[in-house]
Amino acid sequence: MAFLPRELLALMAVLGVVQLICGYSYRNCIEDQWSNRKSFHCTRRYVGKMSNMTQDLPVTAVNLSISHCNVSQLDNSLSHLQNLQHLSISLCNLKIISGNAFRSLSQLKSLILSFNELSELKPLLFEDLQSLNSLLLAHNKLQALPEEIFLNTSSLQTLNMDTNVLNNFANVVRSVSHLMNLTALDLSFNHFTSLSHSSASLPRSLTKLSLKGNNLLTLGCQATLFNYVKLLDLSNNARLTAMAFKGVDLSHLKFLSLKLTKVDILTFLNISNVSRVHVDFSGTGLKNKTQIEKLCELLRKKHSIMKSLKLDDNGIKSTSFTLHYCPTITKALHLSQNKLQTVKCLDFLDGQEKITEFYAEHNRLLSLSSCKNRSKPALTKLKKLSYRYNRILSVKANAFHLTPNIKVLQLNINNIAFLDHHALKGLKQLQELRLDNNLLTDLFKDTFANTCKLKILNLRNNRVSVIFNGTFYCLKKLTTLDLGGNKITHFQAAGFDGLTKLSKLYLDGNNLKTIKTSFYYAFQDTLKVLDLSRNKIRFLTKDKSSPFMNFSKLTDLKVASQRPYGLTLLPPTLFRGLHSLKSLYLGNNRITHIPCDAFDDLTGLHFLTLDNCCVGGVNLHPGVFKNLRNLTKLILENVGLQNFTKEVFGNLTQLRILQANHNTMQSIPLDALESLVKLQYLDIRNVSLSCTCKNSFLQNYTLHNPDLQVVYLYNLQCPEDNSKTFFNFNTEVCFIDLGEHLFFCTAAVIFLFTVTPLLHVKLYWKVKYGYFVFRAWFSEQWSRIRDKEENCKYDAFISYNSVDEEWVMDYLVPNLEGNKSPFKLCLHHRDFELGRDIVDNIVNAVYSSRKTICVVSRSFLCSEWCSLEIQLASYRLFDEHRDVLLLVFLEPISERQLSSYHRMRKVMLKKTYLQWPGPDTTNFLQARELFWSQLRRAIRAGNRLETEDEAQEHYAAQDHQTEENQTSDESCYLQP
Amino acid sequence: MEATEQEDHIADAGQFVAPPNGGVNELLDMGEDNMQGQMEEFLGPQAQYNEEEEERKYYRRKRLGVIKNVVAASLGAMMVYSVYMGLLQMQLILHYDMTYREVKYSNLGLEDIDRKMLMGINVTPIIGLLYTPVLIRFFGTKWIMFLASGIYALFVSTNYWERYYTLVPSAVAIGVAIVPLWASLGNYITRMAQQYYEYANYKEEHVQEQKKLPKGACHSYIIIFQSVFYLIFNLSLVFAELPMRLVLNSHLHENKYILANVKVCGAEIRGMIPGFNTTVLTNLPHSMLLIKVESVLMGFALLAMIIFLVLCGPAYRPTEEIDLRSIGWGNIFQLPFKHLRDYRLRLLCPFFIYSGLEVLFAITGFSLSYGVCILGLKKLWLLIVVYGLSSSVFSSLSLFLLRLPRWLCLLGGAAVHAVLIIALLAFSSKPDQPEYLGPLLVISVLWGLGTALNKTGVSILLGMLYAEEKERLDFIYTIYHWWQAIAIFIVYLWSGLPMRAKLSILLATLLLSCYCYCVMERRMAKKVQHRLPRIPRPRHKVKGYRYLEEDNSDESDSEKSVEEENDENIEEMPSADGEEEEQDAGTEGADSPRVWRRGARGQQHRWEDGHLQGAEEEEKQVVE
Repeated sequence: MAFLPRELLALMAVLGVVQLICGYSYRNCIEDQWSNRKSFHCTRRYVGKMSNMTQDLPVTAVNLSISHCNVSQLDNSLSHLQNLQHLSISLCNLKIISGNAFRSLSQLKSLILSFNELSELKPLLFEDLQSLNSLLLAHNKLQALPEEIFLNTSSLQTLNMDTNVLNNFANVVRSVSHLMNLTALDLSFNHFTSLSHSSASLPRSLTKLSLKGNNLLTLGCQATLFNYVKLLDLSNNARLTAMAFKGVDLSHLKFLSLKLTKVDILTFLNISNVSRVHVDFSGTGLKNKTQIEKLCELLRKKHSIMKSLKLDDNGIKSTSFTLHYCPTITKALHLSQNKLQTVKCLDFLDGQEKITEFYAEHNRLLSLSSCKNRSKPALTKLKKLSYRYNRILSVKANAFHLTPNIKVLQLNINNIAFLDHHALKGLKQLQELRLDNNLLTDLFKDTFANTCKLKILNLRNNRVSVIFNGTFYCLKKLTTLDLGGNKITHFQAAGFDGLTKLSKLYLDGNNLKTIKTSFYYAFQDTLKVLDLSRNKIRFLTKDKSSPFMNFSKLTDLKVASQRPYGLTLLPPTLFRGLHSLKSLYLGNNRITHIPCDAFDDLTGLHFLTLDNCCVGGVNLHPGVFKNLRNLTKLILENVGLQNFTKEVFGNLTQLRILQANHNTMQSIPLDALESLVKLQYLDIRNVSLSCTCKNSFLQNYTLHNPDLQVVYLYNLQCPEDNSKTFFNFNTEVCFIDLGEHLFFCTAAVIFLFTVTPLLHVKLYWKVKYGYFVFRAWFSEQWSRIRDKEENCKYDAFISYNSVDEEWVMDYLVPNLEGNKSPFKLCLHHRDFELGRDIVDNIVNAVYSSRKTICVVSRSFLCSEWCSLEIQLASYRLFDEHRDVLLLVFLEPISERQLSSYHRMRKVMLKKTYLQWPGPDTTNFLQARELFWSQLRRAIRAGNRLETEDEAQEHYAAQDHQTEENQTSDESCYLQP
Repeated sequence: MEATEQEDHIADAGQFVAPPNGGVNELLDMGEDNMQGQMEEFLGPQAQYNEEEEERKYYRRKRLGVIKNVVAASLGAMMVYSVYMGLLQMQLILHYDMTYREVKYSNLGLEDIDRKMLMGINVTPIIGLLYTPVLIRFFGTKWIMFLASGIYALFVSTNYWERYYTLVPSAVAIGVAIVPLWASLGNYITRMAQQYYEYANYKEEHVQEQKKLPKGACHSYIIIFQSVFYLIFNLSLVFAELPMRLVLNSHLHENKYILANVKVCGAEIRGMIPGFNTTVLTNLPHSMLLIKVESVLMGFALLAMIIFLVLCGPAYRPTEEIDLRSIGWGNIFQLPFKHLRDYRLRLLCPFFIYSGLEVLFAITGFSLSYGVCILGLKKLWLLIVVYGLSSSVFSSLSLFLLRLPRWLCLLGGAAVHAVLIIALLAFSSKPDQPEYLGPLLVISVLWGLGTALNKTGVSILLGMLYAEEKERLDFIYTIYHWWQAIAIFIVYLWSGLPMRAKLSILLATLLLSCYCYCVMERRMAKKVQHRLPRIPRPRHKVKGYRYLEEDNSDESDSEKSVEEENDENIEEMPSADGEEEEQDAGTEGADSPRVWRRGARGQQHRWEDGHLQGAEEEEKQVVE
């Protein structure tokens, strides 16, 4: 019980970790792009424990491949992946698999455990794998299989256990005997010495059995062992002799390989009941003519037709034999890996006209001679001819004269330097021609003159340097032309004429220096793939026109890795017109500057790679990717990217995969990442993201975003300190925003709290005083505005006794109403309404005038109407606080005289007034001027209660007045 | 007192007797006799009004108010400094940590900011002598304390958001505020002692006349108040360690890690702690935690501001304040320099410097190079708490000066420090030696004792020397604290020196200051005349409300010329007992009602007194 708590603790720790990581990134695995959480591979993660690798994989995982890692033990760390169908753990130094390792993986279909160190399997290891189809245990150290190991894996079809150290065949047979669906069993390269298998037998369904590379000396099995096997491989059993097959029933075999054994094939055929035409005669030492012909005779005895004859690896030196005696071969003849020096126009095929394929690969053929002179029947059925891996130096004219109907001709990987002008003459049916990896230097005008049905022409890795006019003139049906790896420096003007259906053109690895539009006109409407990488294209000026302008269907364009200087400059117009382009390769080009409109026309681009594209740090301008709205995959590996900004990447709304590893940006702004709404896969390995507060949101985002996989996020190290990792650097110190707000708030509070008392103490009275001054000023302004709004009919109502009418008409009206001044006066004799009551008229006049001017004289004082008028005006003063009364004294009136008019005197005491300067006043003209100006001003002034300074003015006016008056009448000095 | 109250009563009665309503008036007139009786009745209890008793109560309240002022000022200063030092220590340790800097600010700029910040705090006070008196007299003593506490609060606030442009300006502002704050604190406490004396002896003639206090009259209050002030203030070191103890200590690395590269500690090292690890934090504190801590500190800073604002009464009456600032800003600017001519101050300068040096040495040099180096960063708080506690507790020792001669305090502290410095000179050890905790704590305690005696000693001594001159106090304390600021600057400069050099400088300063102090005491005992600059008569503006009556432009002109003459040529040379120092002190108002009543009447002849005196002085000058 002691271990239980520890187990629990471990479990809780694992659970805790799983809980903690709810984002999309995995510690040691990478989800395959586009796989939608189904496929994962974990390679080269030397983390020691399997659980470290698999613990954070989601339950949706279907394919999982773990390789190149140092895990010696497989425990139950896969148990949570219940949907797993394909599991591969290879090259992992796996030594022990615990019994419950595959428990609950009931969906598993294929399991690969090859290339490990397994020496034993637990008996109930595969107990739960009911749907297992294939099991690969190759290259381990298994010595035996537990008998009940496959008890429940009834649907197993393929079992591969090659290169183990199994030595007991019976044991294997016992464990597989009940697998009713097993079709293939590979036991090659084990240590079986015999096939004795006691009572158990192989399942009936088993059709393929490979036992090559064992130490079989005898078979030692029951005769019925191979009753159901169709394909048996016993090659490489060096000690196996023909006698071992005595009594073994091989009659059901459809294929038997006895390569590299001691079996004497002729003896064997005599002894065994094997179906002779199904035996593979490769590597059986049938060297010379007599042996082969003997074989043919033997075969002929029982069969008249055979499908194919394999004579590979027999050391046959010459084709002096004839296959005339053999049964009729209907399909293929294999003579590969022999020592043939010449095939002599396929002489030996006499009588075998029905053959369709002939292979003579890996021989020592030196040349293909002309066959025109031979008067042999043509091999019209031959469709495929392969001379790969020979030493053919020259192909003479009419070399294929006897095989006019071949469709596939493989001459690649030879030394062909001389390809005769007419070498291919007559091959009218040829569809695929492979001439790659030869030494061809020239392609002549008539080389391909006859092969008009050619669809695929491969001339890669020759030494062609010029394409002459009309070379491909005949190849109207050619779709693929591979000229890569040559030394082409230029095309003649009509070099590509005739290639009207070309869709794939490979020109990589040549010495082209420019891209000339005119050469491609022949296929510009059909070309889909154009490979121009590893040429010598270089731009030093900004060309105006685009060489790809007319490639309306081009989908793939590769201009990567130009030698030796790269593209240097990327002309802004280079990719103009490529609206249908889907993939663009621009890597390794030492570009100094990417113009911001370079990719503007690539509206259909899905894939763009710029890896290593640039010199130093690339400066991506804002908007450089603005039209790439369909881009789904972008590779920016090692481009020296320093800033990852929204302005640059913001428009890539369809981007799903972004590889930005090996760059130098210190931070990735969150808004930039968030604008890539569909991003699923982000590779930022070896980016020096700093572990600082600047990236705290990025850390949070990468950890918790459920839609974005950041590759090996948990291995991203801090550039400052390699012992720390990005995903868990301490972000607790980053609450800068709150601090900022608090700072501003508290600073403002403190400032106010400090300044307010100080101001209160120091400036209280000044402020108060200022406030009142302001209030006074403001109310004055306000009243002025109010007055302006006020709409009066008249400026002034003149109240006077008719005795003074003369003065009014002679002086007042001309002075106030004439051209000089704008006032409009109300005079009773002029403006009173006819037929109205006089009191009404007076009231109306007073209220529709802004001012009421009382022309006071002795007679005025006597008049009742005038008294009424002055009373009405003063009512206005008292009732409405509107000062409308202006007093003008026509003659000096002493206080005594006034006193009888009690009310008048009261008004006088409150009001200032104007005195009309009489004729006795000194300098009265000037005085009158002053009088009028005073009066005008008084009329103009607002009629709110007078403010102080106005009063002052009146004082001044009055002083003036009184000064003047002092001389005349001292008693008239009326103090208000 | 009675006057105003009686007036009040009359006014009240008047309201009763003659309300504005005419009808009622008539009615009352009719029953006047009756009313009179009622009035008598109503005023009856007032008749037993005991003026003496009320006055006594009034002054007792006043005295209590003074004590409240002292305690509030001490508490306020204590809070401000606890907050400031606690925050500064926490931030410096955090910013010292490389990981913290890198993660939070992603560059090394913060270290630079810290350096600039320290420079702002330490260098700016050097120019304090230029503006401090002007500032104090412009705003008033209390308001300077309030304003300075505001600046400290602002510093706390800027620590919410640490940027170059927040921290450095606030640090400079603190540098600007340090000298005024301390000058006003010293001034305030001494002034409170004077006020207490006035309120305690309100019946004395010289108090009522607002004459100069008799020599030595308020010395005991000065001693008590300064002791109380330092008793409370020194606790700030204790509270300043709370953030460290409660928050930061749990984040610190173990000693082994921190002190891994430290070779030696104590007297032999050079600089602070050579080899100290650049990362000291195991895990970075949550920023929310820091914000919480800062908010608590912020709260206390605001509380301190409120204490200064609400609880501290004004140090001078408004009339006095007006007089203080009415002597002309040019004079105010010059006077601190002129006061340096006084040999008593001159001879005390080394002591001023020493008192600055030793405090800073205790909380930086000793606690880092000895304490942290030997005991580790986790024990730093303990050392400083012990130091603060002991200096706080032993501040009360200076109360013995009430009985003992005053030199005992300063020289006693100096002796303790001298012994400690010599001990420290000899003491060095290997790092990370927890067994030295005891001895270091003892040293801390003893150093605290010395600090307490030194601080209270100097403050008390200054207060005693200038106890009678309330209009000089701010100059004197400005000089004192300016020299301290210089000392702080020296400590800031010397941080790279070897420890032995620092200690030697300390010792040399200490010996020099002791010598100078003894010289001063001897000269004073011999009654050697000291030079005191004459403080010019206040020149009030003609608009001043109090002087409207006697405003005479001709007169003021003549005065001005005389004053200027005086300012330029004549310096007062009072005798040691300083009887003739009386000058224009007459213009003080007083809160005492009796004085108030005298108010305007008294003013005039006091002015005349002043004139007369001025004339006398001139005569004297001539005679001399």
